[in-house]
Amino acid sequence: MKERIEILRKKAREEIKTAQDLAALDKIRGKYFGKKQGELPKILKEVPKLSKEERSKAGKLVNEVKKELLRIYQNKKTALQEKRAEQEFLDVTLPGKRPLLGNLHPLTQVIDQTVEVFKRIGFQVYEGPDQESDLYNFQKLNTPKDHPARDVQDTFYLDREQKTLLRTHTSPGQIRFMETHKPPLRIIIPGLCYRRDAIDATHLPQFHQIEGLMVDEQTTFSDLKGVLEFWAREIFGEDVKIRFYPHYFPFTEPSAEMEILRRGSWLEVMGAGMVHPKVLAGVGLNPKIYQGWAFGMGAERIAMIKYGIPDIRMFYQNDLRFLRQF
Amino acid sequence: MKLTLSLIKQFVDIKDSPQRLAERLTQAGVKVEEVEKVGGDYVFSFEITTNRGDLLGALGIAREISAITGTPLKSFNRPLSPFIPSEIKRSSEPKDLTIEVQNPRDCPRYLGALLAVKMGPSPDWLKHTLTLCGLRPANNVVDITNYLMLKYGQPTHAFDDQKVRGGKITVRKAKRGESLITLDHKMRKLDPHHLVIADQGGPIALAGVLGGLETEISARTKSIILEIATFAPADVRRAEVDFNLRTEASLRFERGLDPYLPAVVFSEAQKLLGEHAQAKLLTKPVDIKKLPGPKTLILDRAFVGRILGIRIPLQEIAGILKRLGIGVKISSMGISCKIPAFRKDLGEEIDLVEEIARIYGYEKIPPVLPSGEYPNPTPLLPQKRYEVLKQVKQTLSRLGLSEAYTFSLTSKQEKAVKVANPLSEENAYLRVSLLPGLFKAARANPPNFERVGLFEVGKIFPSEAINIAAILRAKNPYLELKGILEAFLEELGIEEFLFKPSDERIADILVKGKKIGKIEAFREEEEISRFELDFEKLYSFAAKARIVKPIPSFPSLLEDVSFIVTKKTHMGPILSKIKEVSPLISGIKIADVFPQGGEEKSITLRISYQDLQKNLSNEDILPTRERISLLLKELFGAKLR
Repeated sequence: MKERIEILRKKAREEIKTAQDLAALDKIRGKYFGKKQGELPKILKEVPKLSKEERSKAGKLVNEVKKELLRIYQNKKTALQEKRAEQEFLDVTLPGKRPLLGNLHPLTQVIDQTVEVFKRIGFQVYEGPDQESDLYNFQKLNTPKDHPARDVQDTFYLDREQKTLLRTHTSPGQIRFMETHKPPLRIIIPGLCYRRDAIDATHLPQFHQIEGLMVDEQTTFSDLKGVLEFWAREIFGEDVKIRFYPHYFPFTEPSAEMEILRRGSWLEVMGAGMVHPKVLAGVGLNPKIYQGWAFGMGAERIAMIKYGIPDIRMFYQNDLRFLRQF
Repeated sequence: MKLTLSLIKQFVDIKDSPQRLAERLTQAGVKVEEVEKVGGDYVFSFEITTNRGDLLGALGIAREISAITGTPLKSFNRPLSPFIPSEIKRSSEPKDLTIEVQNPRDCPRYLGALLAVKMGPSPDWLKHTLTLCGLRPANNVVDITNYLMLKYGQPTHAFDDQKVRGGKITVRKAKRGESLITLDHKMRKLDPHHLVIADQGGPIALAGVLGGLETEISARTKSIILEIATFAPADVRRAEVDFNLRTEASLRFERGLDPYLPAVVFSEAQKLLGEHAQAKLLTKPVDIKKLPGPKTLILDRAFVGRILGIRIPLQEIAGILKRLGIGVKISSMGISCKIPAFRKDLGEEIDLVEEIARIYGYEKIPPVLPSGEYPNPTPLLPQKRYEVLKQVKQTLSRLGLSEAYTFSLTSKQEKAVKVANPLSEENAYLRVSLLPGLFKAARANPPNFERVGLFEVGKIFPSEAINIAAILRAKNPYLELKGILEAFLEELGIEEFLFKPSDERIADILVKGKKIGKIEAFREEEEISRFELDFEKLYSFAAKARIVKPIPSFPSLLEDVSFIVTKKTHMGPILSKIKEVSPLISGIKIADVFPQGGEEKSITLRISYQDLQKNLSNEDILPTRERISLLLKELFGAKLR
């Protein structure tokens, strides 16, 4: 018996060592380990037929051989697998299989980025309605019915009496918030605005604005400049060149416009100013106690400057060749 | 507005280079868009804000330059009343000019003069100046009126005296039914809101806006009535809006002009018309005026600091105000400021703060971050919703769709609100659904794009509720889009949703029995699938926090069950009903579907069973398996295989 097992061990060892490929190795496995026909199981079956002393010795030996052969078999199998992988040619320069990615619209990205910048200094999002009243869109913003400033914003009206309209700017949101919340206030109002403008490369009848408002017992023009410079550096980079100059809005005084230097030209990015005392009084805030400032920017315009987008219409064409770039 | 540097230099000496001057003016709020060198002169293009009626002429600009640089204005003739030459004073000619102003509030000043003229071309220098400033030369009289407007910012009009009926001019409101043909050959129907210049026969001009065709001067004109007036901004605005008319004159009047200008301008008008049109005054000029008293504002110096955030010395504040032409008196009450008549825009204390800031220099105010107390940091509801909307967009983009933005104003949709004054019929209705816009966007993408997947999150009207919609143009788009939708709902923590067929190729999406949207497939030249959801309803079901489920430590048991049902049997209800049979069922996959000829199909489901407490055996799942078979037979009429 012992001899038979040793011969088996030697033979198996040799065959495993010299196996040429995985298929041959698999045949060898079946020959020696296979449940029904395998040599080792066959011998194991005969062990009980032996005498008592022979039995335990033989059993031990068979198991030892089995363990060893299994180990050699595993090693050979691994080696053959590695060899096969090496032999199959892999062109490591082939274009990779790109995963399916979607994207967020550039306007969403620009608006979100601005919201995040302001969240860091205590601002929260507030949204106003697209369908507004003449009262909130103009009158409560110190722009009475016959004011020349109304011309600049050609308005879409929703009724013949011109009492309701599609908001021409996000500023009415300031009034709505101030009427329902007590200072200190810091809010940012992103939203769609509508103006009756002929469509061209820089004008569309609908566009997005982002409005900001801060009202407190003590907050100055100096603060306004500081906050807007902070925003500009976050959006356009640390070394952006900025300039402020006086402008006019009916609902802010002093008013300003902020421009940034881009590729040699000064581009307007923002209108801003101290909230007009009349506006504060109109919402029930005593202008001798409270003061505030506000700003407004066009999201499409900011995105066009930031990404070098030449035509505003591209934002609404939704061509994937454009959208996928963001 | 364009002006030449030489025009401005008539009122003030300029030491800066044109570029530097343009910078300084812009820095002070008088924006110069362009400086063009033309011959020996420079043309400045200004963008003047709508509150400054005094800046629409060289005199106003010169005043600003004087305030900014400190260089005093050159002196010029500033009579309070029109100068009357001695021969006119002595004459007692029957020819006379009568003017009546019905309401001085509409017209604080009307200066009219009757002059004999010889019509002809203007001298070259005048034509050249007008052309550089963007105005077209016509004849000597009209050109002189335009020149005076450029120089002083005061519009002037000339009527052909012989065409004015009855020798009397009335400044009044139009009567109902009256009409006027204006210089542009258009017929204007007037009403009592419109201020007109009228003769005995009716209106001959829209006051402050546009003259009438009838009284237009021509080469044959022998005498003119020269009008230099101040009209109330509200009346001029009304005519501009009602007739959709904006002229060089109306642009100036609507902002409010200095009522002391007419006499000043008349003085130069006489001179220029005399020089270039052989003009002779025929009667005494008529000057009807009711001028407002001077306006005084008290400025609290502390207020300046409180608004601007810097401390400007009192002397400097006073200096700036004086340079702007404001009369300054300092007392214990504050700084008393006498506002000059040409600054109609300075109405309250805050306006003075802006004047000080802009002349002092915005660039001198340091930028600082606010130091106040943060408002309550607990997020407002709008902030919370904003965060969820952000998550919605990020999830859909992660799932392979690109975000689109479409227009709120679209072509006609059922039950849509229409805008009263649309730009076109194509964009006249406020959308009631995002789907048509998205469909257009998908179609607009080139046809050779194999896969076009878009989504949009936006408002529908009139409710302004937010909807979430998506569209997919691809091979077999329905199952792919449905997969995206299901993954999306699960990402938001919604795990129990149901698809209920509502029509041939449409399914309603139900969460806890409530409909939150629909998904459909259709074919229009291409295979398209799309869905639309109501965000508010979705928001109410979205999970607020995640609770982790334990990983099973025991293997699951897989079993297939095959059966035959009619071709049109929906799989959705079968899968959900089977799932309800036992909590041991951890998953069901459709392993195979194939038609059985005729009206039947054969389904194979792979059901996985899992017990967290132990290793399942065949006996354990036997009762469940039997209940499933019973369910299939009785509820769905299935024939088991």
